[in-house]
Formats: sequence, structure tokens, C-alpha cells
Amino acid sequence: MLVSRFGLSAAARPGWDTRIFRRVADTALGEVTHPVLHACTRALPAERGDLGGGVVEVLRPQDVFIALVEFGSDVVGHGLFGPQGVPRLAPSQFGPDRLQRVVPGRSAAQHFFTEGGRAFCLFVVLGSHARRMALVPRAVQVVGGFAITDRATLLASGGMP
Amino acid sequence: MSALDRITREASPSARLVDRLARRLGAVSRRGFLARTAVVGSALAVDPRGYVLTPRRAYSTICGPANTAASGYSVFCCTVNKGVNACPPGTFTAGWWKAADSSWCCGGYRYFIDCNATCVSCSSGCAGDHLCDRSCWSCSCGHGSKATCDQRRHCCNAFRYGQCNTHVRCSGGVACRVVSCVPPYRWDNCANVPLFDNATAEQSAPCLQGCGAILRRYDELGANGSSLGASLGPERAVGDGVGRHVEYRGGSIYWTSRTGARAIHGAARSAWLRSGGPRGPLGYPTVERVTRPDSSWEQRFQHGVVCDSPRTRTSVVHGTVYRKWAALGGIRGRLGYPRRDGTNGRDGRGRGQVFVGGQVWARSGKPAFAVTGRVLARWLADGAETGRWGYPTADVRVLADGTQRGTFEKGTITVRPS
Repeated sequence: MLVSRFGLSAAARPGWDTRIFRRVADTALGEVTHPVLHACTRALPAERGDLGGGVVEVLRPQDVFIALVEFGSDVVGHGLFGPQGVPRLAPSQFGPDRLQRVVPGRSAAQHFFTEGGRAFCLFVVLGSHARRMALVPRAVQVVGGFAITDRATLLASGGMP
Repeated sequence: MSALDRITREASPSARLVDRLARRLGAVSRRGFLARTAVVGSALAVDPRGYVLTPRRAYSTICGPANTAASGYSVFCCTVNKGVNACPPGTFTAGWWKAADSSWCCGGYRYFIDCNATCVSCSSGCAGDHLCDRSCWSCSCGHGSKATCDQRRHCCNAFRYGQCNTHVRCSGGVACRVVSCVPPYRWDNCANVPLFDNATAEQSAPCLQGCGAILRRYDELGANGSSLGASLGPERAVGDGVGRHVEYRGGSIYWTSRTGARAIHGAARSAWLRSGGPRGPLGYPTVERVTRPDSSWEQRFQHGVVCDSPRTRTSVVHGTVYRKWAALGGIRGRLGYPRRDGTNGRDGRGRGQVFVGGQVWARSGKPAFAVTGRVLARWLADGAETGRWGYPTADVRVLADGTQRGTFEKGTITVRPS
């Protein structure tokens, strides 16, 4: 079974809570929101930050949290978002200080990339840096199940820009 | 009136709450209960309910939750940047998020903007992802000084939010955080793509300004993107029991309950401060600077004005001279713009000021009068205020036949049409 919205999809796996959402933009402020995909081996709290605030703090050592956050089309393929394709995760990429809020024991990796004409940040947090050799393959498996509809197809089908 | 004064005098819900808790502690007055540290007033202004209900130091209330290095969050830039709420040298705005319902933004959204280190000495590590190796960063890992409650991490967290300056593909980690109540895409090179994390809404530092009339005016003007720029410290009392102010890179905002919050910057601010600032003869600004198409401008104060035009220099007009000048139409009247600041009479008995269209003079404690036209030329030729005629005792009048007549302490100058 797939969880699919806004041109993003992820295989729904047992033991994983997977959500795809798009926050309401404050158009009066001129903001534009984009889809966010969260997958976690714990139940996702209703109140959580886009990059895992409120989730990372409650991870158990065996838990994994994954955020796939889309950015605007104006940055596609350039600079920070120059790398093409969903990155391949490896334990060596993870570090205990690679979070916006360092939480003892946690470990994270972050990648910016472009896929299908869409710009993303992939942020993966492990409940335990010490267990990264075991946990990263689980994250790789889940990320491998992500599918990103390319921008042209999405626009042609009347999907969100 | 300070926040401490207010809460100890008023019968507000906060004050009643403090009373109840003070009684619970025994025979302690409301003020005595509260005034235990020098920063209690600020803590109460920021979060009276939180400060009173939660056992914690006032300083911790200002800094909000998770204010130690162990909390894992990054320090506020003002804490490590000499009070300036801006990215320190060697760092750049790299991304941002917003938190809802922040008391620091009067209940609105608060925007946190990460300033990331640059890769200065090398670029190793950039091939793997967007972060260079820590040894390349423009700063090294530490935390806020023990002199402040904002002891969060400085230049430690290898992370990037990613909406700002995305042309910078590889950088160091987060050095510190700038905050604003105005979205950063309105004043920096950031995308209008919000990311959310409400957990940080109440985090702050003693060097940041809080909710109030000054902050509201600053935000209306564009906050960090206005000509005022970044704040240099928190809101402070002037010290006269009346006013409060916040200093910015490009000026100031002063507030009193009578005048409201008014920004002042540039030459107007320099002239005002030179004349004594809020405690000087001008008092507080009552409006902000008004600039006209010909580049002339003025800013009014409680007791005077600072103005300038292309043909004059920035000048202060105040006191009895100001009242006369204003009565004659100010810059639009026959006197026009002042040529320079007022001066004391050479005999020390009065004060005068030169305008484009004449002069205004007043003896100490007496009203001021305008000396203009050919009477002015004669008066000046005869030694002005210390000469043959002394100080004026009436404005120069032009009679129906064109005769100009000026009355002075020692006589009358009459100049008939030639």
C-alpha cells in the first residue's frame, strides 16, 4: 500500500507512521508552502516541526525519523540544490551534531538535491548514533520506497506547482 | 512606569496572581516578592504568568526554555555579536523557520534565521554534502558567555534550513540565530518558503527587544530590512521616568506614552543628540522625519524641530525662538528654513537664530520677535543685539505704504520704501 499526495508517495510499512502534508500558506504574507513527507518508527505527534522538532526528542534508540521537505521551483538544480537524484544514505554520513537541535545520543544526516525538476531536503535522524550501522539500512529501505512525480507530469495533471 | 511598578501597583490579573502567591509565602509584600533580582521587571514584562507560576530565575524567563548548551539549540546572534541582532562577520543567512504565538512578537509569528559559518580555510567535505569539514568553518564550537542566560551552542550544529542564499552550495554549520517578527524574505536573500517549529517560540536572550510599542513600530517600518537595520540591544529606559528606547544600527526608536513610538535616524538623530537628545530642549520626537520632493526635510519634537534643505545645513529650532518661528509659518512662512542652530547673544542676555528669511531673537525669559527685511540689514549694520538698538521688542511690521518698522529695546528702526 502507498501513502501518496502532492506528487510524493511512500510505501506504508508496518511499524512506520508515514504522513504527507502541506501546511496552509499565509498568503497575506506572500508565503508559499510545499509538501512535506514524514516517516517515523514512532507515532508522529500532531504538533511537530517540519524537520522533526518534537519528534527527535522522543525517539528511542531503535527509532528512525525521516523528513523529505520540498522547496520552491526557483532553486531547482542550482547551488545548494545542485545534486541530482535522491541521495544514497550511508552510515558515514551520520553524525551526532548534524541536527538543528543536538539531542544526546541522536545522529542525523542531511542532503539537499533535485529530482524530477523538484528541489528537496532529505533529513534522517537515528535514535542512536551507536546503532547507526543497523539503523541506516532501515532508513535506506524506506527512502528507497519514496517516489517523486516529476514536475512536468504533476503540472500536466493539474497537481500543485 | 516599569513593568515591576505596574504589576506591584495595579490590580491586574497578573498582580492579583502575584499577591496570592506572595501571601502563600508569608508576610512578603508584592514588590518584595518580586524584586529579588535586577531583571525581574524584564521577566515580568516578557512573561509575568510564566515567571510567577514556574519556579525559575528571572533571567531564565527572559531566555526562555532550553537556554543551556546542553539543550542542544544554537545561541542567539546578539549574544555573541556584541548585542547586534544580525549575522556576525564570517557568517551568512542560510535558512529560517517560524514559530507561532510567540509572546516576543506580541502573540504573532516569530522568525528564526540561522547564520551559518562559511568555509574559510578549506573546502574539504563539500564533495560529500553541503557542509565543509568542521576544521574549515569560520568559527569554532563554543557557547554563550556565562554572563548571560543564553548559553546555547555557538557554531556547533552542522545543519542548514536551506531557504537563504542557496547559491552558497557548501558552508559551515549554524553559528547563531537572528530573530525577527517580520519574515526574512522581506529583508534578506531568502525564499518565501516557510518551515515550522513552534518549540522555539519563547526562546530568547537579554539582548533582544520584546513585545511593545517600539517593536510594533519597528515592524511596521520593515524591521531588520528598514533603514534602522538590526537592533543593537534590548529596549531600555531613558532614565527620566518617561521614555524608553531601542538603538539600531541605523537609528533609534523612542517611546513615551504621550508621543508614541517614533523612529529617528541620520542627520536628524545626530542633531537631536547633539542638542541633548530626549533630555535636551527638544524633548521626544512626536512624528517621524518628513522628506519633500526637493530633498528638504523636517522632524518635529515636543518642543521644537530639526530640519534641513538643499540650501541650508541641518539645524535645531527650539524654545521661544521655535514658538515665534512656528507662529510665523515655520518652514513655509516668511522666515523659511534655519541656516544654522540658534546661538546665545554675545552679551549673554538672550538667544537668536538665523533663518533664510530673517532672524528671530529673544531676551532671556521674554518672548521672541522676528527681524526681517531692510530693518534687519540696518540692525545688523548697527551691531545687532549688542549694538545701538539692542534686542527686538516686536516683530518688524510692513506698513501700508511699504515702510518697514522694527521696535527694539533702545528705539525704533524705520526704513521707508526707496
